[in-house]
Amino acid sequence: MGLLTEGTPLTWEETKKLAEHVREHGIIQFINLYKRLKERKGDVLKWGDEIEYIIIKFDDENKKARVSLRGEEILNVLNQEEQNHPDTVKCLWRPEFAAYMIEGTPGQPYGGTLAHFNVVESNMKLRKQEATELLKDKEYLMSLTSFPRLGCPDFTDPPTKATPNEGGTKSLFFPDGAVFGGHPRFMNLVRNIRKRRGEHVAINLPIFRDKNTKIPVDDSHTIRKAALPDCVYLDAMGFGMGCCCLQLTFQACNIDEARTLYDQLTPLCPIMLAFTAASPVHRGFLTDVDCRWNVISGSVDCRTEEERGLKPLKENKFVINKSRYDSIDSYLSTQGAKYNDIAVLYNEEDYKKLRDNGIDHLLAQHVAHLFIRDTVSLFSEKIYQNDEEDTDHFENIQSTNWQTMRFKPPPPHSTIGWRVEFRPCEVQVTDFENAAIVCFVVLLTRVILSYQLNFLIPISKVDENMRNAQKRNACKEQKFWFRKDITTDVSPPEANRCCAGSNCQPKECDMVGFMTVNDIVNGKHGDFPGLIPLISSYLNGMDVDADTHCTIQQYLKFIQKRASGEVLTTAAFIRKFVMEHPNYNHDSVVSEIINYDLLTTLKDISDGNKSCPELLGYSVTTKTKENVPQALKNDF
Amino acid sequence: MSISTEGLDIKGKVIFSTGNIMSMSDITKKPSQNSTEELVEAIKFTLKNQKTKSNEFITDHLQMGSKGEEIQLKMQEIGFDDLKIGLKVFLINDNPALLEEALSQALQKQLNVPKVFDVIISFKNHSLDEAANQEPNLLDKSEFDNLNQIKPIWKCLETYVSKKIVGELGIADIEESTFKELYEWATIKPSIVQINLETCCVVPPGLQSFCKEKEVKLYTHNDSSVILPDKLVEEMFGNTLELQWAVRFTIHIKCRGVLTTKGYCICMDTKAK
Repeated sequence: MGLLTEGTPLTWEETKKLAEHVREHGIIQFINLYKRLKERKGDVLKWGDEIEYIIIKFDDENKKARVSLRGEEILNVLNQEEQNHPDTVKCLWRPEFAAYMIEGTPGQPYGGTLAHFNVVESNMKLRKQEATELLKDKEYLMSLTSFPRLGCPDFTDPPTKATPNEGGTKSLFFPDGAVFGGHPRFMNLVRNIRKRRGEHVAINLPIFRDKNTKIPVDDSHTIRKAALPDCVYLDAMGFGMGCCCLQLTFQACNIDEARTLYDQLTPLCPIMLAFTAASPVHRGFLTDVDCRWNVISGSVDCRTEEERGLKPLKENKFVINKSRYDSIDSYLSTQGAKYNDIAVLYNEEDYKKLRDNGIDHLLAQHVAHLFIRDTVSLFSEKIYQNDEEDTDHFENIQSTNWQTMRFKPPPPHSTIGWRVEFRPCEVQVTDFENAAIVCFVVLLTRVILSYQLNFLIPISKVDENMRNAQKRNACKEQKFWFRKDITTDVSPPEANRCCAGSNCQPKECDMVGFMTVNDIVNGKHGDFPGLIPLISSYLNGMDVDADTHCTIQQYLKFIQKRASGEVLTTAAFIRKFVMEHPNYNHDSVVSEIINYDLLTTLKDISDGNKSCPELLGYSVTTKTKENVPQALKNDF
Repeated sequence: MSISTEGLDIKGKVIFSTGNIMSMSDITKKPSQNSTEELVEAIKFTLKNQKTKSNEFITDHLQMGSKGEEIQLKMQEIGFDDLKIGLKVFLINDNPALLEEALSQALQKQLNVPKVFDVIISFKNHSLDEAANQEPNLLDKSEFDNLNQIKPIWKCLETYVSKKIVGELGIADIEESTFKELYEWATIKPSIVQINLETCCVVPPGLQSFCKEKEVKLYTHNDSSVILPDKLVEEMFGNTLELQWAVRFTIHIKCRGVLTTKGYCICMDTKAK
């Protein structure tokens, strides 16, 4: 969730009064930083991954698995190491929303040579090891997208209780005690989002209907009017922000390359979401979705009834179509401009101020659009700032626009350049899978830049893909809009005309096809070359050391197999496990014992104590190593 | 597969350049599985898209295909200092004159650069290849199994390093023992040894540890043992010609993992009787 500002949080009423102040100064801060840094160029490739983990505690006696709320305790020790050796530390650790979560990243970013790909998995292992050393008996660190029985009775260790009528969350299911208490930001966000919205957040996930599934799912709908009877109802930020994900950040050589990568990776977001699907179970029920995305989106949806179009606009300025956690609304590169086919809301005066200061239309509209969101977290120490130097108000809004992609300006006074963050992926259980996905995406960025590929499709189609990507078994069964001709040749004039408009029908616009994840990843004869063949071809022109290439080959083979359906997605594996469990009653309920057995199995797979060809295939052993070999250190 | 070289009655020596295949969309759309496939596609593409009038007789040979303008322009745009240029030369015998010709073609004609970062040589004796057809177990035998065959070529390469035209030297598909001998013998030590991608997970431990100890870069390649078999030369250019050498150039942007340019120059001449 970004860097945490220390300090004293303001109440919602105080924060609300300062919303205009933050907006005004945030925009000015962006203008100033843009003027300072727009010409910055010559930055090399640096990149890194972020993985969020859940601490699980196994109760072998009672056959229960719970989340352990010791994140803060463990972080304090982990961060000590960073404080003592900031330059040599191998892993960095940050707090996350939930008290049972921690976030880990490599100590230093990876660099521009391919040998770094061979360090990724090793570093992930090291992270797990570092944190695991601090765990107690029966505690276990897992990179698990969602804890299946989150919000069920007795899901935490030590025990906590939901308090529907008091506290910050006021959830029927999610206790305040499960929110990370080591920093006020998190509970402050919970409270402010709920207060801004004017009611509880509400997520209704359609239940997976098995032969004995009971409808209504439970009695939530009798207590809360927002709850739908045939859905799994969730009413707290923790259900979303308490999920884990896998994110990637790349440094671009200059602002234009960052804009290009931001755009080119956008159509890949839904594809990678479907590919990494890992969260079919929520609050103890099998649902009909495979991904966390909409859960998080709903969990931080601070829009008022007016903004959601349920009431005529009186207090608010806009009806806003999406939550502040959602897919992006506009492309940023000139190449992308003609595919911006959905409304991009912004305050005219913000946009005008940005334009008057020499910022082009696409970037001005992007920044102004971020600022349609009010601040939901403000600290008293940070209200009055030097807009020439500080960027906190800009970052305040930027870091609470949780979108599929994030366009990141260089931080003040640093050697870091323009960056792009890729945010859709669900985290996988094994380091092997996570490393494979990370390397695959980073390789794709290199392939895009080398061949100057063009993946752009109308952004409305990316949104359509996002919806379909989350459906049950989407990786295998759904078809997605994807660009067929990805070379940068000038496309036929009719296609250009058609695709510039919003009523672009596929038959008129031949450049966009309907493809499965398999078609996109592995290629479709005569129609699409496939991302993996493109990567292999790129690698043939690169200097790759043997060990790294061996490792990359294992990763790419795995990606190919998962895309083709030869191995299961994590979500499909979890579904299958639940449905084949002897205690499963075909009622969509994931009971304590099923949860315990599932997590025990996932733990054993993650440890490497249990092979799981149906999830991983047969070759999961790589040549990953802790450091880049000496001979390759001076490589370009 | 057959390609028309319309109106061309190719006799005598021909040097053919593909130009930058990274910008050929037809090739991007059909990613190749190995270099031979890629080279053949690139030749076909170039033949199809270049007018025959761009062919030109230069002293002793016919120059066909790209003249490298696009590549040179691109290098200027990015800036020479930010680029890492590498060459791989595919030789069929140990005649240094052919190596010199290949290097001069790539450095001066195609790229027009004063120096390159590295040169890797691959050596394939065609007669041995034919022998291998009869006796398949010979296929496993690396071509660089005799230091004496390498010496004249390596001596020649070393002069390029002393003149600062080439930064580092490398060699592909060499027996472990021969590589060690080369390393001991050579004045300019090899910095790179290239092995086939297929063997990248089963590198002989001896080679692995030697490379580690001497800080030699152990790279992979995906090149067939014969980069352009006679059969394909015949299909594309007629049956009087045979391959003399091939050189591949790759241009990367330093520290960014971006490959901007890749292309081949090949030389063919009338078959020796």
